[in-house]
Amino acid sequence: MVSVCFYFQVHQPDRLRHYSIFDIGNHDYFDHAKNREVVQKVAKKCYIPMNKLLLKLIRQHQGRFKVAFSITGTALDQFARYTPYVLKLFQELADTGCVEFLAETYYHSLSFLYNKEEFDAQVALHKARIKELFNQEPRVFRNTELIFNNELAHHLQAQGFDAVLAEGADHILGWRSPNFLYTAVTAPHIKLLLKNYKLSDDIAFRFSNKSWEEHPLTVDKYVHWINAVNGNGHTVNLFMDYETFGEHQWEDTGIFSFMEHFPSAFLAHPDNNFKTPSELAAQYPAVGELDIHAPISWADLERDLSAWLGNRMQTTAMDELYKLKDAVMATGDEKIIDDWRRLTTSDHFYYMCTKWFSDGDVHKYFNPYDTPYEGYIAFMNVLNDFALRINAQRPAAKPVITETPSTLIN
Amino acid sequence: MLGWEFPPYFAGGVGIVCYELTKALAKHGVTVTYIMPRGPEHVHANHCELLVADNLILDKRVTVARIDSLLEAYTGYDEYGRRLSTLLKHGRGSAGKLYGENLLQEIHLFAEKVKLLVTELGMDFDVIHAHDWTTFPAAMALKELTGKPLIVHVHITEFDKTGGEHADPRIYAIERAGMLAADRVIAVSNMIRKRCIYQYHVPPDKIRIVYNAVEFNRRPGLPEEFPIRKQDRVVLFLGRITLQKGPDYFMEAAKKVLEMNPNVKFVMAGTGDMLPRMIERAAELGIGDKFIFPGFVNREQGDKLYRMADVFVMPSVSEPFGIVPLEAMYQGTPVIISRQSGISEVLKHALKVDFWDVNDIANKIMAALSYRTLHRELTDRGNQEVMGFNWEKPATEVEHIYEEVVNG
Repeated sequence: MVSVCFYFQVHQPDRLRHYSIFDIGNHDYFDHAKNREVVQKVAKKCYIPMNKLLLKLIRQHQGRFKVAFSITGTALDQFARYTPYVLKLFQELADTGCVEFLAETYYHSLSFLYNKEEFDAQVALHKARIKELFNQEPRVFRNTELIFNNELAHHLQAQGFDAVLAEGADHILGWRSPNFLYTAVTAPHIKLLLKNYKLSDDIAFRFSNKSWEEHPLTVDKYVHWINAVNGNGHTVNLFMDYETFGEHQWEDTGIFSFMEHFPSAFLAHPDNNFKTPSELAAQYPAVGELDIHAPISWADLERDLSAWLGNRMQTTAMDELYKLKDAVMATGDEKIIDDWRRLTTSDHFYYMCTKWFSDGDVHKYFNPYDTPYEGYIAFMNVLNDFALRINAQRPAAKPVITETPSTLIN
Repeated sequence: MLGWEFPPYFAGGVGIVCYELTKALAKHGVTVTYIMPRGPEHVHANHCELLVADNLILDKRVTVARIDSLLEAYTGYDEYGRRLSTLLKHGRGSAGKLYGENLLQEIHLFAEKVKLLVTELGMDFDVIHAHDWTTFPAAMALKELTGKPLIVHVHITEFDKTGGEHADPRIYAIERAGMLAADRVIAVSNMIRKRCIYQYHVPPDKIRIVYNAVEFNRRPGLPEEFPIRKQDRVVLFLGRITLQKGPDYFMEAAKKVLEMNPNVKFVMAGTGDMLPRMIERAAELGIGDKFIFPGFVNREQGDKLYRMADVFVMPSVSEPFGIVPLEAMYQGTPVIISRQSGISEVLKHALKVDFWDVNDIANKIMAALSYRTLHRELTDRGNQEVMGFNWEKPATEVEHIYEEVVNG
């Protein structure tokens, strides 16, 4: 028997304006026009057609086709504001009973690495929002960018989660297969669901790549590969960005048609079934323990944190941001707290990444800035306004950040 | 190879480019004969820097043949007339007989002399490679005479020099004729490539981009104390103070920076027709005391200025390539460059601005002066990046183009 578990990540960040030093004093940091434009474009190309397709497939297969989503709070907010129809379709999906919603940080942040208290707060906010919109209480957790380590497993176990998602990275698995469930050495009661990155990336990255020897990817070929797992694995976890469908892989690549025909072809084999993450955790035992000390992620070849924390600008920006946390919370001002939390979104740090400078590949496509330096400047300008805003509310407090326009370098 | 300048007679960067390119080509086993017009012995142009010839001994494979001519870099018709009369005034009466009446005549005279030289010496070669418009008539004449393939190398066009307006139609005509007659056109950036296509109607498949490089044969200076930096940060502009280089945008940005933080000094080094206006403008803006105008600086003084500066700005309105930021980066200074420059197509570790966006220039100057991490990152990575520029790559590319035209 082999199960397939689809999990789709849905995320939209609140992109910043090209906020200049001369904008300090203006507390409107976000590029509303751009954010609206992007989310409406992606809705048209991906969210709406794909949600409709999934609804159709779920109805057609009468409970045998299932998927899971993790939708960030920032994306949910943008849907509500700019394209409520998308939200309505997600709610329809929730009503089918064949769709599981996972928990994550509301703001798609790296807070677990910086401040556990903030992490817990953002997870609680997200859970509440999922309950409110989809009437589900998430039992499975997915951390930003699939960032995972022993400590996270331990922390989540204490919070009562049943399972957590992680990258099936070669360097942590070694000879072991991602097609089984595991536990972390630090947390025996929470199961690890590992992404089968090869089969996931065949769809997410290679589907339309004409220089790939397997191109074009047919449903039959793909089902054949998955069936090969039968007998030496319990599940094939296909984890990917939801924007794969229609946005990363455009409609004319045949990606929708592929997804339309995949479930029936896969279910034609009587041993096969679709499972949601919670169902996997309930049904399959963990076959072994993994010891993952250094954080892993699903990003790039390195599968580490270097896309967000790989250079000094990124770590400085992050340090400065979290230095403000206590003062932000002390204001008790909802708007200030929400603005600050929107700055914790990992994308802002991703834009400052310098490691793929020469490639101009997928990363550049998602970057609203010309260079990582511009991303840093805009972020730091905003942060400086932020510090002034907080200090205005708490005159007794000292300025808390060190990189400011009032003190020149020496 | 036909050029208009060569060390020690060079006015801008093209002479150095020719020198370095021929040197690198020679390393590849390409034998180059470089023909240039002979300029006046004293290089008096207000924008040039003089290298001592003894320091620049050529590889034996490069032969320099000088031809008498008044051709010199950056000379428009008007200036040519002035220079000729200056020569006459200074008692070099023979100049009137030796040199033609105007630049156009000079260029054609140069063409005739080149033909003569090639015929008389019985020169044999495979490719004609000509740098910029003043050599194009000579190059075309040579192509007609010998039937050899012609490559024209475009470092700058009349459009770039004039900021897009008041382009001299006579110069334009020569540039265009040269580009159309050529078997290949080498453009120093995509920006120049587009100019060739859209302003000169050159078929795109004839054009190849070869980015310039830079050869650092002097060491970056050691850290030193500069009294000016005790309490003030220093922002540097270094280049000809002309419309093309955007000094006025630099000044307007300075005003905005100073409104935010008065502890900044601005150095505008170089000379040019806009210098008096700039000095006046600084006074008008009430920031005269924040500006320093050191005038023309030589290479050594330039290096010192780069090291003294906390950030270097090149706000050029139009810059076909732009090697100066690399010099600043080599001395460990972060740079802000305009997107309207060829170098911004290849440089990664630099802040980029639109020359007209004074607010953004000021924003980035302030950021570079106040965000330590940014300053450090730009300094370190920029310095690393600049070390990767050398003439090996462009020479290889030029050699491939030679092979292309020779083998059809």
